[in-house]
Amino acid sequence: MAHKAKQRAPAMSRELTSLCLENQTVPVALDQFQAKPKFGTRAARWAWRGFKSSARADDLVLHHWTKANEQFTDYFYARFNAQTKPYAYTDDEYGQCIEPLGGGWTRAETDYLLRLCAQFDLRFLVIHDRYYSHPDCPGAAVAPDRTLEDLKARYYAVGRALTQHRAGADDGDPEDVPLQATNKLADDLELLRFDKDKELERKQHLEALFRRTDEEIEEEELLVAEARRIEASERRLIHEREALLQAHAMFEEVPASAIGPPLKVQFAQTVEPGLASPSATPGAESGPKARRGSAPEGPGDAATPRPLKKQKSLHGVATPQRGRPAGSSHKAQARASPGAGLLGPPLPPSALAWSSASPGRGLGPRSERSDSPPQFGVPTFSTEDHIVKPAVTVVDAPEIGPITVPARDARLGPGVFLRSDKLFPISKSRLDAVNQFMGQLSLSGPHTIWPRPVMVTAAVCDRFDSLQATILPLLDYKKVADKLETEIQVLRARRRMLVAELGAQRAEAILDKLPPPAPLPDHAHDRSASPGSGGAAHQRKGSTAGSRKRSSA
Amino acid sequence: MKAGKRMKGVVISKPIIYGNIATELLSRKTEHTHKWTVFLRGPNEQDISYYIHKVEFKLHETFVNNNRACKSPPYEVTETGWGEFEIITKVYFPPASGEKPISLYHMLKLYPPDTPGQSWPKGKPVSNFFYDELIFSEPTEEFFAMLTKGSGGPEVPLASPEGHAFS
Repeated sequence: MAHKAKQRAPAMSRELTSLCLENQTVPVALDQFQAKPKFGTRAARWAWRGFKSSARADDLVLHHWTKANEQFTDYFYARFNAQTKPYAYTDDEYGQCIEPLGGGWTRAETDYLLRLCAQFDLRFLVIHDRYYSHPDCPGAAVAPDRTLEDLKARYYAVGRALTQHRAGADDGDPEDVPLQATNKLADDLELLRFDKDKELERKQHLEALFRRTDEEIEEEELLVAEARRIEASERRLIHEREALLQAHAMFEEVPASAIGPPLKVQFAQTVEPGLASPSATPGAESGPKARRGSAPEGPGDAATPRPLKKQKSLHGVATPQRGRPAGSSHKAQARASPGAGLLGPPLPPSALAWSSASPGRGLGPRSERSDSPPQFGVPTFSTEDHIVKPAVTVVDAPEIGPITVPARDARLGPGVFLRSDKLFPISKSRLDAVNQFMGQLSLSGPHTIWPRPVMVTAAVCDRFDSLQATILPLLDYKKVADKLETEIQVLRARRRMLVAELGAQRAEAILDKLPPPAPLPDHAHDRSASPGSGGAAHQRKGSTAGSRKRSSA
Repeated sequence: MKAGKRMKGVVISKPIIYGNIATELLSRKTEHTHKWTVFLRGPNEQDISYYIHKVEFKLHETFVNNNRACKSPPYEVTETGWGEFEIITKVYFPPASGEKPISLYHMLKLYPPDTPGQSWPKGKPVSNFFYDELIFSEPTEEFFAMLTKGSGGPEVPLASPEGHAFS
């Protein structure tokens, strides 16, 4: 060690080296003066005494030091001299309670067993080992073949029978100490319980456990870890599921009057199959449509939406069922322009403006009012004090049950609320994005609808909620579309570079050799049609989202 | 308190307007610069007292008796001051309804908004209203009767007439 140190730092003097680089010196604790502790008491007197133990059968006297003033009760460790009291029965008892037990045990064998138990202090392994194999045992023509469990079973059965019998008999043997301090028969019997089958099973299990192979042990550990992981994330999963269901439920039941079918289509994009919920809204779509509606905050998986297809099917389904003339879409389009008053121009009461407009619109609620007096006879909501009749009214529409309150309200529960409190909440992280979007729609100035509509009537609230509900998936899709577009750009650039390197002809040759590109899956189509990437369709329809996207792209 | 049976699936909404008006005090006797009134009323001067039992306005602590209660219309409080603070308007409903009181929050606005290029004419009151709707979900039968009976005064018509621009 010193050698190495010297080599590493030859410049230092030897004394310095020894100081710094050798073993560090240990700080020495100086001797501190400690006075001898003083006790107030005088020293106790001890005496050399002889004692006897109750645990011994003889009269041996041993000696030890005890305090002079202590009385001698018993040797302290005599209490550990536990002794099992063997069972002893008379012939009568045998005849009365033990013989009826049966089980193929003769009197002689039972006696032998009990003798062994007494001799070996209930150590059954030894007893079993010696059973009829030790030269001491009584001669038997055939040595019975008893397993350990058999012996135990027999012993405990005898014990139970005897305890039962003796407890019943009034003239108890005074020396017969009950096993349990509670003096209760049930407890004693409990102590003598022995289930042979269970014992065998238990031993088998232990054997199997002992003889597990390494693979099995590994497998078990993996399973346990997996189970623990599932349990840990269970709470989170449940929470997510709840949020999802809630988000879905909220918008399945928004009355269709405030949201035209194309909007429903928008929802249907992120549908989760099987998320049916009974929608009792009067203006609600027919059954299948309502079932397909779901929250815009759906799984957020951009690969699933298929708006084009769904729209067609929905329209196909919807129109005959509704059986109402589709209103002109012009008004709706004009209305979709931003900043138009949300209450908009009124509708001819007999028709819903059923726009067959593009799927990508996403923002154009079609009709303001669910006034469907022709069918339902009761306006569902309006801006005034109006009572919604409870579900007593019978309605002609076959697929929709009796009219009730708009389900948005049915979920409220008892109590008083402010309508402005019940708007669809937006998480804080998305608030800014939505705010910005609203600004682009020029809706974020004061006295418009952001962050809270000025006039929170029912219709306004529904529209507002639907608006928000569409903006959020819109932003999601936009993000995805942007990502894809940048990817495409990057790939295109790469391709250009590669082609430039190889020379055009060789590139062509390689391209020819490559298999033709797989047909684009549906979602790519849909994404291109979605509001995220402005397509030509949007240009025509003048969708705000489309135009905004194009202007920014 | 044992209220009557609640009517399932019934939802009644009542519109209200709440907020404040403030005018600048031209003669400054104290350091108070504005005279303001905070109020709660029905739209179109409708009567709302038939379903409201009491309205409590909780003002800033610096006001004497900052819990001002109004048991009958007009539900308003007029005061002078110089600061803007949050007012909590607690609306109590008749005991027959079994409903808990509901609180509305808004900022007392005294100073006119900053509009660049325009100046606020002196003496013009600054108003800050909010329209909201009280939703009574599953009211008790008694309360339902009270709510539907109405006040008998002029109310917004139930059915919108055709052709009306703002219906």
